Amino acid sequence: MGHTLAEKILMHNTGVADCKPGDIVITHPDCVMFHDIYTTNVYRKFKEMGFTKSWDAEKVIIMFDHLIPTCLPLDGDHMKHGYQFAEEFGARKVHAGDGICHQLMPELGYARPGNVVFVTDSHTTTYGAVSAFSTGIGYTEMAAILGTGEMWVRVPSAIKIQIDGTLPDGVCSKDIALRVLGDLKAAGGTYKSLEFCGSTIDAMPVDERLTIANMAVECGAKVGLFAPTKESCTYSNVNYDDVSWLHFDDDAEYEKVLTYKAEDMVPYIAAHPYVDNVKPLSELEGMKVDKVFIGSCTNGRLQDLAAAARILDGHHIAPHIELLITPASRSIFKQAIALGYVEKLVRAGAMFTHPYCSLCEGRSGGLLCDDEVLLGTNNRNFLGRLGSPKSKTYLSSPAVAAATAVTGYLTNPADVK
Amino acid sequence: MMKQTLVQQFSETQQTTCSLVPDYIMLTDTISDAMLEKLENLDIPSKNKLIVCIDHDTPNSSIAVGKKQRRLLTWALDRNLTVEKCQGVGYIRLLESYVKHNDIIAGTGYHMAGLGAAGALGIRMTEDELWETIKNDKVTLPHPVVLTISLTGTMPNYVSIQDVALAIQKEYSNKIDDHTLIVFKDETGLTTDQRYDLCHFAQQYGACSALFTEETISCNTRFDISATQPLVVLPGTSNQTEYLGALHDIHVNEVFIGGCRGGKLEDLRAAAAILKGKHIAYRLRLVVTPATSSIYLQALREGLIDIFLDCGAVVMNQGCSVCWGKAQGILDAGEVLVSTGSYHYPGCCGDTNADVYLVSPCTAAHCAITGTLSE
Amino acid sequence: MEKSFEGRIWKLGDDIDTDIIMPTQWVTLDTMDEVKKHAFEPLRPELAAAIQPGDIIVAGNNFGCGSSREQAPEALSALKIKCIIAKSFARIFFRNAINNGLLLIESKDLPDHCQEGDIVKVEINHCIWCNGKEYDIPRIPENIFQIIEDGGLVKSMQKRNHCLK
Repeated sequence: MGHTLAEKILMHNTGVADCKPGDIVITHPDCVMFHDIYTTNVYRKFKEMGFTKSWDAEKVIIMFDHLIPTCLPLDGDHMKHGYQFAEEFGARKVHAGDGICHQLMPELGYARPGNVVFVTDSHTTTYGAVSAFSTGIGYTEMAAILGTGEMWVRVPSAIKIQIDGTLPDGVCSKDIALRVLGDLKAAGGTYKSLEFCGSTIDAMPVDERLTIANMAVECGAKVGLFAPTKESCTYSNVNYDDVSWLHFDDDAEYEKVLTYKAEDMVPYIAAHPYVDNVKPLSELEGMKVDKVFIGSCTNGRLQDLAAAARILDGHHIAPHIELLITPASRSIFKQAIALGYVEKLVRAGAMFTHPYCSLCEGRSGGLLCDDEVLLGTNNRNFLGRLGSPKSKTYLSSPAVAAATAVTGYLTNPADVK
Repeated sequence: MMKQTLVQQFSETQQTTCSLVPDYIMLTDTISDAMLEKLENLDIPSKNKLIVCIDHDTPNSSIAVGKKQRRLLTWALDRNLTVEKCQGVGYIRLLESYVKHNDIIAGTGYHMAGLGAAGALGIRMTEDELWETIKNDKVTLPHPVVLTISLTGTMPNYVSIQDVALAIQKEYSNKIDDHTLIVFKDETGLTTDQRYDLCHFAQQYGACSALFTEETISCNTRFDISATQPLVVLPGTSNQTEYLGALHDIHVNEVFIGGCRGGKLEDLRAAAAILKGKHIAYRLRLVVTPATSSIYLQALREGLIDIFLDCGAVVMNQGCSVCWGKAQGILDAGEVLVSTGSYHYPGCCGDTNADVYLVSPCTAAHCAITGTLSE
Repeated sequence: MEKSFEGRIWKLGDDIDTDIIMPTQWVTLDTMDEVKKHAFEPLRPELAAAIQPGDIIVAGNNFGCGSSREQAPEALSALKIKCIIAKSFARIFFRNAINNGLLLIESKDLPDHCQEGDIVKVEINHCIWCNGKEYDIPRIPENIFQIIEDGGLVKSMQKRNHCLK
């Protein structure tokens, strides 16, 4: 009997010879990370629990990405607690303002194929794109892992999502993510492993896979996994042969299989106020938009900025539109400068910020007021998340977002010349 | 009859008040709701004079600010007014694209005098006065007392223009009040960026406005910039300054290089020259913000943004940023900010128990590397 | 923990996300007493002040979806919510609630057959009584029950570390 990707990684990590959905296994994470929103909580809980040292300081990563630049009272204090933890317990991997944690974890090679990784953030599913079993936890649980080096996991059942063929022009991995969420619905993947395969997926670069894995949590999934490819191993700087055990088994048991033809995909929109309220762009085209946000751990990568720059080049944003663009990491920012994207985007009228969580975290920087409509490339459009509960947020790909910034109304990128 | 220049007009006339016709009227997102409501019901006489700048709090830090910005923008677009939306600090945008020699510009901002860099007169007024100005297309103000200062000499290379501005303040503060219009006659070859800082500071230390003139005038006094030393404005409500050399190892949490005073192209060049190849101090937060979009673009081309990114800085979008103190770079109690901004009163950027020191971009850059404010 | 208890219910719908349970701008406040005042603010601003110790929340599917934000269950714990009964719970919220000693009970039927203000009686690992009708509930797995019994993961770890010493 074969195994799902999730089962294979859990067996590899725990040493158990076999496992099935519902089993409780004790994992030993390859690394853990907590970010600035929770540094104070982790620090306090860790001490409260009576721990005096972390289980392995080399496996502990601390990132400041939500609170830099500081924007609310006590932001500086939370950073201080992060540094304090690092100094007291010997954690040396601290990143301040280097980018959004979910970009940095795979980009810097902290999360790699076959790893088990836990982070105090729901979008930790992102590293499934580089074949890591990675998922979000709370700060109390993080404090316990930091002390013990262990975490219990219920082996998830799995849903296989197979996509074959070539995506049409103007359609990208974000559209696949939205389509799948619309089909599975917000609770359709709860506790489960979503596992992506097919010729479209095989040919997809890591940057685009990251978008899909990132959004797996939006249907409640524990993980969103991809099998390693030669390209993804190069990205993660590992030998493909060392992780080739992590492949799809034909005889693995999946509780459900969804199959798609890439050619059938179109640009999609997640309409206010649920991520699973997904409609084809064509149904909403022409709707007036006030603000456009391109960024976040979902779509703040180089290819996303490239798509936006290509569409906005030579155009200026509509008079009533505000355009906020935030790259996902310092290195992406630098590459985007070198390739001329930043210049094109600023010239088009964008506010281009430093890499951080930006508007997506809903604490500052572009909050929506009553009746305003945002089109964002981020991952959540929940009621009131990005400002007033009377505002509306719609989610799309970077290309649709850029085209909409030009016209001021929901627009298909193919229509912007 | 040939139109009198501003300097002639103010130097020669003897009336107690003067009545001027503005060339531009500047409105920003600091506008009050009451003013906006009045404007919404007004048929504006000279629409082409209004420039609406959404510049202070961008992207907006709160739902309330966003609401006001949206209302202001909608009002301006409905009336086909000139809008500068999220393109950086209004004063610098005006200098880049609108204001010229002898223009008169009315606004409510604390740095209107900065427009004197172009030889224009920036007049700061209350919102009620601005309302009258918009309605009547006329500014009435008490006749200013002109203080003409001739600038001579050469600035030492370890000194920045802001140090000169503060040195002028030290020298003339007892001669300056809110009726004083300072007219600078430059014999030293200052750039527009440098002139902006001198005019900007003149308003800060109490003059009603300031401007540079190219006309031949007889000056009240000469100021030799050669003897200037680096200066720091100390935290607090007064404009107390101290020589940088007299300060000892003040531990710094955050450094800000940006905004209208520290985010102009020459400011960024000066800071980048110091930060190149270096890294900021452990735990220190450095925020860099180009003043406007065009400065951002030029800084990109010159590789300055790369230098800031490589040294560990956070490079934010064009605008007022940390200096406005609402969202970018908020301080906690007990923290210290070294800033190229304009404000330093308690609570101007976060907690009232945080200290803000104002310095030049060069001093700020050094401070970011060492983590302490000292010579 | 008592094996059976009664409480008044507050009723909520499907997909109550952590941004509704605890909006992000409040999560960095210094104390949980300040944080908890903002529970459910975007959806029902009056609710946090109205909740009394011992009250019970009843909701639909996918309660607690969204962020890993542990302030959400911690705030509900601080409001002294006795337990949450929902058709289903989101994964991270589930773990976080347990780790904060907050009891969660899955029931597919009860949420459709009760009104806000009703009094329900819960018999742990057995059933819920509401308006004279009995609803079966699942047994809580042993490892999870132990954490709740200890009063949350912090106390659990304190016990562990004390034993090790």
